Amino acid sequence: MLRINPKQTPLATRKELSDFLAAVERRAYKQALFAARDEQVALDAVQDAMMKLSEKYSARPSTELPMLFQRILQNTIRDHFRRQKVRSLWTPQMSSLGSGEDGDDHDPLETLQVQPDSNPQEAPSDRLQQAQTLELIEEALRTLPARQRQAFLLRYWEDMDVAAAAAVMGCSEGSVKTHCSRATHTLAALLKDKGISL
Amino acid sequence: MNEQELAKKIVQRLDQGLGRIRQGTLYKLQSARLAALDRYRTAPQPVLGLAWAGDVAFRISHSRYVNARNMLALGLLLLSLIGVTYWQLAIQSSDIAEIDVNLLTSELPINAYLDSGFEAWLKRSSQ
Repeated sequence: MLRINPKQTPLATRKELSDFLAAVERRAYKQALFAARDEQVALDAVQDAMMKLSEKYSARPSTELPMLFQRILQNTIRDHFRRQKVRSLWTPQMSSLGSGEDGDDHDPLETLQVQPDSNPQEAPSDRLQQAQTLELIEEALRTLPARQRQAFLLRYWEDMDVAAAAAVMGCSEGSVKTHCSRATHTLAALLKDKGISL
Repeated sequence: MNEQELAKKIVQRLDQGLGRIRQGTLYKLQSARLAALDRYRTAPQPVLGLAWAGDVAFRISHSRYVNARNMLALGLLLLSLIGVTYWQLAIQSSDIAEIDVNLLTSELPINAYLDSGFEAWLKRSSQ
């Protein structure tokens, strides 16, 4: 259990907390989206995690915020799956996940947005190719086993060291390394199958 | 390409993808952040009392195990225990009442059961 130790200083100020949340909110949303595959669920998970962090753990040193936030976020996502499992016992499967997926009919052009900082000289075909590559990478991440995806994103996207990732995931450092290695090899194989070279 | 290099390149692409999140979603994230910051506390809530002993009530009441669902489950458990105990006592008392009725309505005098010779005769005759 995470306990508050008033002797620890310096504590995170409101601005530090605000800056931290602003810096992580998009990645947190994407992490939740990879796991839940539902935009509303992902937004709810991020909001819950932000609320809990601000309400219960804001009086902690700012250096601890990344690990605390990730731990809360991962627990929130896990709670969502537990609730969904219970709910699926009582409700028909027609109302379960997958409302936002259209399967093979998905067209990357529909989600391709013009970026404010994009280079106007860049060829549209290049932009389309980038969007398609990103779509394939994200799809590959979604297909990874949950623990592998979690380890990969914590280690490489959140830039956590092995010990911090292990603390967030509640497993040993060796397990984190194994999950990361398997995730990377699986991603490499999946992308190779799709003809993607990074 | 080794594991680290591949991971780095994948992460670069993922970072690029952050810029493609829809404006509506970004607005919702921003709203969630502002709502969360409204709950910011500058310091842990002070608790009056001794270091642990006086703090028991606070610890119990603020424990994550104390919630409506757990309280309901505990209540149901207690009710079922009371029910089982009451049922067992009722059966026991009805058994005793039945013996009393048999004794009182029997033609055999009650003193006969206190007679050790009669008891020995009963055992012999039942074998």
